[in-house]
Amino acid sequence: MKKYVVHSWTIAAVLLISATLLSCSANAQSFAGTWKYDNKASKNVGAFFESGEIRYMLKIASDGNGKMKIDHLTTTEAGWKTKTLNIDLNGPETSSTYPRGDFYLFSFEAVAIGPDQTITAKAVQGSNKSEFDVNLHYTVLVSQGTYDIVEHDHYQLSPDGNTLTVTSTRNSRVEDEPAVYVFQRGN
Amino acid sequence: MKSVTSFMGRIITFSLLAAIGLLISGSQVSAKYKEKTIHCTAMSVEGNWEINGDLPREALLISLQGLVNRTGPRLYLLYGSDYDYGNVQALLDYYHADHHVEYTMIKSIPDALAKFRKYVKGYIVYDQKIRDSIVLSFTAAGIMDGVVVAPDQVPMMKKLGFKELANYDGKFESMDTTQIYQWAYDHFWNKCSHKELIYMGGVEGKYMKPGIADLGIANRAFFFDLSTDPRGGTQYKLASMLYSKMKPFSFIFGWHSYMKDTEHSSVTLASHYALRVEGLNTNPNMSFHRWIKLPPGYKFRSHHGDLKNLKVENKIYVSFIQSDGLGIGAWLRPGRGQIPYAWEVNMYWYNYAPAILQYYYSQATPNDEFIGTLGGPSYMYPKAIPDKYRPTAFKMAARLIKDLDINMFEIFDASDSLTRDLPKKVVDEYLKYMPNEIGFVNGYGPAHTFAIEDGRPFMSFDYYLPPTRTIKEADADLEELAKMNPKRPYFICFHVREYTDVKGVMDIMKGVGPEFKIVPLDVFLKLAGMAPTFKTQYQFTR
Repeated sequence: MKKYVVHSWTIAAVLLISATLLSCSANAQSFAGTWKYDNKASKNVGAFFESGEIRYMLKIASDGNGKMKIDHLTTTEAGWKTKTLNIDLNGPETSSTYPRGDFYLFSFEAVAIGPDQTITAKAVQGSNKSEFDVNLHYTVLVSQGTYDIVEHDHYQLSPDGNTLTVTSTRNSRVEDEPAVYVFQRGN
Repeated sequence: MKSVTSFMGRIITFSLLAAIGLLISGSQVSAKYKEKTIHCTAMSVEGNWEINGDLPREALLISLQGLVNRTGPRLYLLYGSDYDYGNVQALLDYYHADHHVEYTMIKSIPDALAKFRKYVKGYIVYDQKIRDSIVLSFTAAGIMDGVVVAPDQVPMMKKLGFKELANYDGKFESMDTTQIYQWAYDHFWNKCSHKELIYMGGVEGKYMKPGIADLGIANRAFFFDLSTDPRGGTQYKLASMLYSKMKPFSFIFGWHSYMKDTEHSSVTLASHYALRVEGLNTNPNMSFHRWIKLPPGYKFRSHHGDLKNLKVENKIYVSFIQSDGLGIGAWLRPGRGQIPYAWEVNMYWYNYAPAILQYYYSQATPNDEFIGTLGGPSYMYPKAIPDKYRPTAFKMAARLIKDLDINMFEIFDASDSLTRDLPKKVVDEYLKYMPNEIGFVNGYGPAHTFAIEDGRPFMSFDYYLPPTRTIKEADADLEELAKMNPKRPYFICFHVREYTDVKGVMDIMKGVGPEFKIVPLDVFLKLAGMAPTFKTQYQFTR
């Protein structure tokens, strides 16, 4: 019987690699945190983001059981403005109320109707815990009246958990590349 | 019968003589005008605008310009091809060709100071370490008739025999910005003209671009650089106090500071006191331009579309307005004249520098239309103007627009950070006090204020083209708007920033379908008035 000799440095290396993998895995599944918008890495985004005239940030909080609060923070003359989207992964459709204001996701700055805007969202996550999908329904104001928007957002974490990519399409957009919003994990 | 014939004969003879007299008189006026050659000096102020770099030379020359141009057009400064205003050389060329302006070049500051010595009583030394001391020295320059210099330039000034009028080097080291301008207020305010204020903002840090300072020095205006952001504490309070001291409808020239407040806070505060904002801090040679007069009898005549027999088609009508087009914009860049295009006009030039407007009017092609701006007789936010001053503001704008042969008006109000829309009350006042306009356009980014009265539409921009948008993205934006607004005709009022030239817009329009049709802005407004498919809507109330 051959005797295996395990050196202490080998044990240390295995432990270190395991810890790193566990850490990455934990990070990979953790959408929670502050996400700073990366304008250079993003593409086909709303015009005001693209030109740098509007600053953008996400803050995501999770209860660990699928319920998440996604704060969209954009700059205005009066400082940061927050719109909070509530979602429930694989749960029932949720409803969120946005304060009056513009939807900068639209290049032409379409605004939702009324002083308060109701957004409904259905979020689905498969076996891959580093991604999930959200379907949003809301109504925007246009010059001829209103238009009902169906928006699909795909949230994808990078393997190291430090980059969040949100790929967005909507029913109003014709034959266009999807908007890709890239965020880097911040403090 | 004979007496009647004789009487008629006398009338005819008198009429002929009067007509001949008028002709002679007219030709004499014309000849007199032609004989009035303006001899002036031109100098380059091209440089890097760094406070510790080329600014000392540039600031000295601009202050000199303010002094020597106080009583006539004597010094014109050339800012180089990379400067914010791309029309500086072109305007001088125009004056030379059409306004009998002859100029000689001077290269050195000593030569310039020697030539204009009689206009300069001495020099004022600023502290290069304290930006506010430079701004303050411009106020002092106007009052004391001195040029501004950095400490390093003092030996040169002494050698040239000029005396020191004030020295602020080290004087304000223990003061903050508010204290410095409070000091300036205490010492200079009563000696200033109060016709205008100069907000010497713009780029900050190690740079300063005081192109407008010559006008302020010539007019002995008070200069400041104080935050107009309500969160700006003592700076905001002092700025408010200065504004409150000005008569309503006085001017604020210059521009807000890119480091301490915003365009929107600046114009909001000014509008609150019914003051007229005229940018920018970089605006050059205004002390010179104001002396170039229009030819006798000159009337502004702008191009108008054919508004007769218009027929509405089931099209997506698109019309373009370029903001800031005449000063810092794309007027001299490729494509102008090839498609219908509307250019924002700085209406105050009518009184302040009419020859600049004459230059643009003379160059306009039939495709170049003008639209009056912005909100009032100058840049003003109507929602922020006190109710009692708003009718006057609109009437002043109406008068200017009429004198400029324009019949369209544009509004932008960012006094509410959450919306660019206007309440019905304000829209109704525009329609009432600006009765000759065939239509109005509101917004910057798209807005959603739409109304109509007697075929006169009050519309908002549906599309905003920022500087970074690609052709493909812009085409997708337009197609998306067309999908979201399914009724035809559909009217897209399209805002183009000064960064994009007409050719760039043409490239965008090549990528959209045949349903899109470009029309002149006045035709666009008329058609929208005939077939208003937009929904009447105003600013939502909170």
